[in-house]
Amino acid sequence: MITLETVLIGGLLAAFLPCAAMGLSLLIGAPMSERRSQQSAHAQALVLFVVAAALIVAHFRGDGPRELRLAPLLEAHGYSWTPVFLLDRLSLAYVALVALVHQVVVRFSIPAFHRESGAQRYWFLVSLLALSLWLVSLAGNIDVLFVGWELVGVCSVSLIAFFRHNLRSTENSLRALVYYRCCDAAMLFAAVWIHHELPSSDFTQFANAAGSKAAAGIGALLVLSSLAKSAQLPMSPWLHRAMEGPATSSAIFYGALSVHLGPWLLLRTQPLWDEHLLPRAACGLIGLATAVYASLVGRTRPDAKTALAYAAMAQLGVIYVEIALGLETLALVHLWAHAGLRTWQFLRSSSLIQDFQANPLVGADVRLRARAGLWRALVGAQLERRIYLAAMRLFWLDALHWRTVARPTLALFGWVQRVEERVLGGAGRGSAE
Amino acid sequence: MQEQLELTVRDQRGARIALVLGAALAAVLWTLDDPLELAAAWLAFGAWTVWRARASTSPQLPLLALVGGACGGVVLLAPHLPQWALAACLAIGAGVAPAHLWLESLRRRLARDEFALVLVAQPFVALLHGFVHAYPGALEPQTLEVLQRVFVASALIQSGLALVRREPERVLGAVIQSQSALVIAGAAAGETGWEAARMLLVSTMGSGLVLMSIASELRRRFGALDAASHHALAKTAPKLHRLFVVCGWTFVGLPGGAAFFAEDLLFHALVGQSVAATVGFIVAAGFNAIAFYRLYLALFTGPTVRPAYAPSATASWKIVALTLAVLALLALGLAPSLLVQHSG
Amino acid sequence: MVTRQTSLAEQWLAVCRPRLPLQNPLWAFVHNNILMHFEERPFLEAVREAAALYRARPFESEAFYRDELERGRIRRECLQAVLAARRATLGEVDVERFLAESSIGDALAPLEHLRLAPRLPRELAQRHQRRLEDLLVPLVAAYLDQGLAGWSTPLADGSLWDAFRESVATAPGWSFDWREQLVRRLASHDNAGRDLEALIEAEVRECALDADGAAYCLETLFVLKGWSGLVWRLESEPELAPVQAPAQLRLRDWLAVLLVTQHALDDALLEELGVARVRAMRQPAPIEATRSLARLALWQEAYERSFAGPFLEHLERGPRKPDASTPPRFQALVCMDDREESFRRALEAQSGGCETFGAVGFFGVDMRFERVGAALATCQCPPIIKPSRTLRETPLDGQGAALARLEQAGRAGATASLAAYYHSRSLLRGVAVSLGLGLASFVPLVFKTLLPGRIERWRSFVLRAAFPRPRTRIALEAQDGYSIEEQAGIVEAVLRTCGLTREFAPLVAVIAHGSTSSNNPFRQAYGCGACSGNSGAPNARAFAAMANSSEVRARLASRGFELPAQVLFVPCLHDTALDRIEMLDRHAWPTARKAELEQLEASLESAARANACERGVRFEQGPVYGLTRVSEADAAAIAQHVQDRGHDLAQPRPEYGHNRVAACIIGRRAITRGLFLDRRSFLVSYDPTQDPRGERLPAAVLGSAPVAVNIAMDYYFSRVDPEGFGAGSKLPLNVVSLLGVITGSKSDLRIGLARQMVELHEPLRILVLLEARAEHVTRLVDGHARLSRLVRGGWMQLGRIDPDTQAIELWNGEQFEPWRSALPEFAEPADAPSALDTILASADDRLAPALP
Repeated sequence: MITLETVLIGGLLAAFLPCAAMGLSLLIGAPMSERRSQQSAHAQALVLFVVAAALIVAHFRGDGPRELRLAPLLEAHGYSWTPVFLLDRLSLAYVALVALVHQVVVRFSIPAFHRESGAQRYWFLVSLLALSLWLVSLAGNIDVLFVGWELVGVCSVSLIAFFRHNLRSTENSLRALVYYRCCDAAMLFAAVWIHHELPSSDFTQFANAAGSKAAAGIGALLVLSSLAKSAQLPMSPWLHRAMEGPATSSAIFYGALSVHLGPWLLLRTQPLWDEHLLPRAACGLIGLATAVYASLVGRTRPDAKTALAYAAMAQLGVIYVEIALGLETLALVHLWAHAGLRTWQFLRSSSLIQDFQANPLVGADVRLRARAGLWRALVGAQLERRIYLAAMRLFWLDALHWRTVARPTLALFGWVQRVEERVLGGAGRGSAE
Repeated sequence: MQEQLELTVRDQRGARIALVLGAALAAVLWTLDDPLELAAAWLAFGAWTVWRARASTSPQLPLLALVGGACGGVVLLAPHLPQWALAACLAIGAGVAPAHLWLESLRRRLARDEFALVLVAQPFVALLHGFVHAYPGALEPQTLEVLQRVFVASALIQSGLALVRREPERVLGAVIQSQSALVIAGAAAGETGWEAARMLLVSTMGSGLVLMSIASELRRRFGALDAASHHALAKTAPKLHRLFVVCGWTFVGLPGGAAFFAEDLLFHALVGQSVAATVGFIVAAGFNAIAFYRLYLALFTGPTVRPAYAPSATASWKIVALTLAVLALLALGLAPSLLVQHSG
Repeated sequence: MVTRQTSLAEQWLAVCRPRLPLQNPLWAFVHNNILMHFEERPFLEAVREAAALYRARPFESEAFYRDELERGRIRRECLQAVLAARRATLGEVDVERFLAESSIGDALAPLEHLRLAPRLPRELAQRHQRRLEDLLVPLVAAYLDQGLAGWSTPLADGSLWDAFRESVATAPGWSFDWREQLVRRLASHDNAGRDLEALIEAEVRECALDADGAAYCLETLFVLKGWSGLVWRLESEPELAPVQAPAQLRLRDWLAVLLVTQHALDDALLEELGVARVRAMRQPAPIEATRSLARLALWQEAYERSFAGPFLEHLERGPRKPDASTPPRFQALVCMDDREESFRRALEAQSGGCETFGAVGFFGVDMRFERVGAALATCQCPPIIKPSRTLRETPLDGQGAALARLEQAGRAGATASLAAYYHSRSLLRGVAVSLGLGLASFVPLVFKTLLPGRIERWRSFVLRAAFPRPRTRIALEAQDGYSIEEQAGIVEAVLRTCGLTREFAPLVAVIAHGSTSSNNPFRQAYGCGACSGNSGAPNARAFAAMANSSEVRARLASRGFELPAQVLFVPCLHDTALDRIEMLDRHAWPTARKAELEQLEASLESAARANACERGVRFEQGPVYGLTRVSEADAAAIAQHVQDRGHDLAQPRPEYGHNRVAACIIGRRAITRGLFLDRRSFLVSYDPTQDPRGERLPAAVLGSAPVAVNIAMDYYFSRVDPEGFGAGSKLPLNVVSLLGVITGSKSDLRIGLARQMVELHEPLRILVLLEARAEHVTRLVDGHARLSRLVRGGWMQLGRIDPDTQAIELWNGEQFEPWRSALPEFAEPADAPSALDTILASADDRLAPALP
């Protein structure tokens, strides 16, 4: 008798094994042949697709949400780390999205990464991404979710730095990591707080805990921790930097699966903080600000990929607003549809020249460089120019972060180091400093 | 000429014997329970460091280190000192900031491998654990709380320093010291925190050993490297590169390594005692990951430069040993309960 | 103030302009020798200068050549011969010593940078480049944008310099670290009241120290070489811009921007470093890419000889089949393109016999062409020729309504797709688009990825059923079209040049070619080089219409050129990516000859399928990779596979284009008929026996050889340094301003071809063989400036096949000499044809080395 548990465990194992095999073979320095790593990734995508379908069918034929609880991985002194999975409408909606987009991107990458150096690294990271996204979307408690959440971040960072010889891509990956870490710290703290304050860290229990006095704080922290993945203000400036990676990874991460994790996390944890003003207001205001900011910036972008990145960011802002307004179903549908649209647009972002060339309106008849007439009428030409110039430079948000946060932090520790040197005299033996 | 050559060979052999001796002393430190024996071992290890510090550079005594070591030893012998004195001695002995200066002064005198041994072997943790184990009630809760704050500050400072240090070994050293402040916080919190701390300790020692070995191997092959520019070694030293990146990520608490569960467990243990301390540690852990990744990028990525040196290969036994170590760390990450005693 | 006639700055710019990369917008992309403007100098000198400017290696690496020697692709005896020929300068050196001592032949010292930035410590030098890109790339990309951004820049009305000033002025003080130095510099120019030219002069005087001003400006422009090239290209030919180039675009402005920003950035970094500029400039800064060029040139020569020897031997030995005794069933006029070499072989192998001729693929019809349903006219002639007239496609009688319907539908579709494009990127309309189209976009997403070829076929089937394509013709006779006289001239010139003047078969297929690919910014690089990268279909249609016209034939007959009445010219299109044949203008087929024509179609299709099999063995992910014999089932699989490749969004290699091309043979097909040339040669038909005085030789050579050199050099440079001369890997490329591609988000505009497009290519200078009398060739070379430069400067190797004796001779710099004495290592004919394996066998394809 095949139970839901076996299907789920089988699915996770199927997601884990190819990924582990690829990772191990890379680690021990016996890389697989190109064909073999493609086959592994492809097989993983297929199996996950089938398992997702099976789970969805089971869900609709069964009786509503199911929580699956496995044996704890770790137990010590009243603390236990238990893998809990939750199958409900929300998780299955995301799992379906993951299964579909992952499958498409894998198929897409087979010819694209043919003979690319570092291709196995790519395949490993994409399959690790699939595994982590499954963990995130099926997680039944905050602990499992956090595992997947962190892994998604690391995959994203590693793929931004996929072209290792390109300095810009490696440096940008570091920037992305910094933003991710800030928000991951918030999530870690939220997790710790949940364990400490709430009776259970299971999502199914969140609705019961909504009255707890910590709920508002935890909710606010969860909103904060979702910002980096979805590039919402003020954690936005990394997203255009992430466009250094290959187009396929831009599609799967920043068009579809990774950027939508932010709203998804909010939908998942909403029962906990729904009734509290602080998290809802934060969510709505941040979303609104981001939507305006990103759509202004995005419209000035003259290159295909960053224009898409900002367009996606703006829509994510709208989804945040929808969540804050309590329109969960709309937010979920919007999330799904938007992910599909952006994946498609990212994957064919190289077609733009061909598209415009084939378009009979481009050129003689219609001037594409038409002015934004409404804008000018509203704000006047002079102000329009200023807004344009500011938007073109991303409103200097990047520089603002650098000046106000990063540089002072580094300067502080630089000062500590200098003090240390003054006390001990010099940088010491054989030191390059 | 010939004579000089023989001399260096003899020097090298001497250094190797000394290193093995140090490792043996550190191992002994970890096996003892009795406070007197532990104090003796601690002092022996301290004597070894003083000997090495003098042997390698200047004949001057490493005064700071002597004081620091002595403070550590004192607590084992005199558990009934006033609370403030106990706390101060423990903090100084454990090398938390600003007492990390004595470690720093030691670093300037010891050979690189020897200082790496001091960091990796984590004698301070052995000391603290031994003390807490032997005299369970010696520290009052308020004192512990103060100590914990100090550890947090130290972890934060070390993590921050890791961000600005330039030499690979020093970046790693700062991250290790920051992690050991975490471990110590656990160890000082008595038996409960010790469960978590032990996991983190194993992970820190194992990963620290691997990463420090890789850093020293890179130095041997490619000369002095720094974290401010890019060296693009991924292609030149692919095996070390793979081990470094995997071990580094697990070291800083990525899921898949033992440190992930250890830190998780530790934060949960700590949050009951002090929320501020937990936040501090979480921030420090975040810094550590950034510092590691920055170092990784500097060492292994960037536009390829034509090597001006003739890179010699790394001995295959080293690669095998490091690989096995990394695999073991990963295995612990998948089955973390191996490291935890089920105390029912 | 008196305006000077030509200011110093203007003189410098005049020196710089012709040196910039010939960077067309990718809409108009065609193969150019990337160093075309360096051609007046000998190859080695030119590439040395270019290496310094482009910071790119003009030869393959020492390691590559050593590997090639190891695996036998470079022959030891060739290397030995090259070394022996240099005895005067190198002394007695054998291969062993050459390999052991890497300084041998290293006669040219590396060149020095003129700018400050490369003299900074590595870390700062890298930061210099990145900060410059951070500030300038978004600005210039937005300024030149053709409509990719939804909010078109309000800056494009003014000059680039003003846009730059304004962008700096509006940035707050903390917006970038070196703004202070930049503002200071700008203020000092304002205070001195300098105009742009004076500013350029002042900047150069201050910072170039004693370097030559023009050279300094040039090196500065090359800091962002792609953008500089594009700015100049759009300034000089604004009509190349797909939509509209900014009216005040000037290279001068861009130079001023680059000089000021660069020097301000220098100031900032020098302050950080605490060093004065003059002292920092004393630091030597050799250019890595110019190291050991003279030695690498020796390697390259050995590499080329190792190709030339076996190739000529193969040619000399050739099957030399006598012409078929029975008259051919049909004849085909095909483009000279190397990709058609295998297709012609397959065609000739068809039962019943077929004779093929190679012509320059625009078939003499030098027009701009307005296709039904396209907004912009396309250039249907080689880029070196200016189209003489614009022709349009017009509906046949009674098709006007259908055409109007189609155009209406096209416009509606175009409006919708533009709306979807812009609105999906805006905020509120974006919500509507993503909710409305988002779920629907999963359909193409899934199907286009899984079944690229089939879905495209179904789609076009449905579209054709809904909007049948109206029957059209090309309005040749329209006002300022071709007169009958001119038409007759074109037909006669093409046919006479390729020797198709007698023994006409009843059907002559005029086969143009084009290429289908999707998601490919470099599409124009796959089309017909003789039609500026477009499909040659309109030319084939126009030519066939001309040749079939009875008036034209009458005119021809009056000139003494008889075209029998039953000869029918049939325009066709060969898709080189999909390997499909499309018969054009079917409606013009005489009903009486339908059966005959269908037979022709079947033959062409079967040849195309055979061609697909031959190409297929090089597609590693295809079903027949590396096979030597392909079964019928395999053939079907590969046919499907090549279909899919062309339509696959994910496929960076829809076809291999001109990869491996290394020769160009201009002469009768009899020299090469039946000879396997592995798509390595352009084949141009020219019959010297019908041209005793060599009058048609210039037409045959000048239309083809320079194109061949352009293509070969384009591939050569992109292959030897994919990062410096090429566009790097296709994967991180990002379309910018609808004009070009950048890597990631803020890089320099990429030039050249992507790595995936050239990975099988062997970087060789092309070997051009003419079947002609020596005196005719010499007269031609001496009489034509560019050809003379190419031949004498060593940009190509010239050879000659004697029309009577078929002996092959090579040009040795002064005259022709028998090839076995020009290449003494091949003095003895080889015993077996095994020598060919290394240059013609697919198993030995040398793939591009993986990037670091």
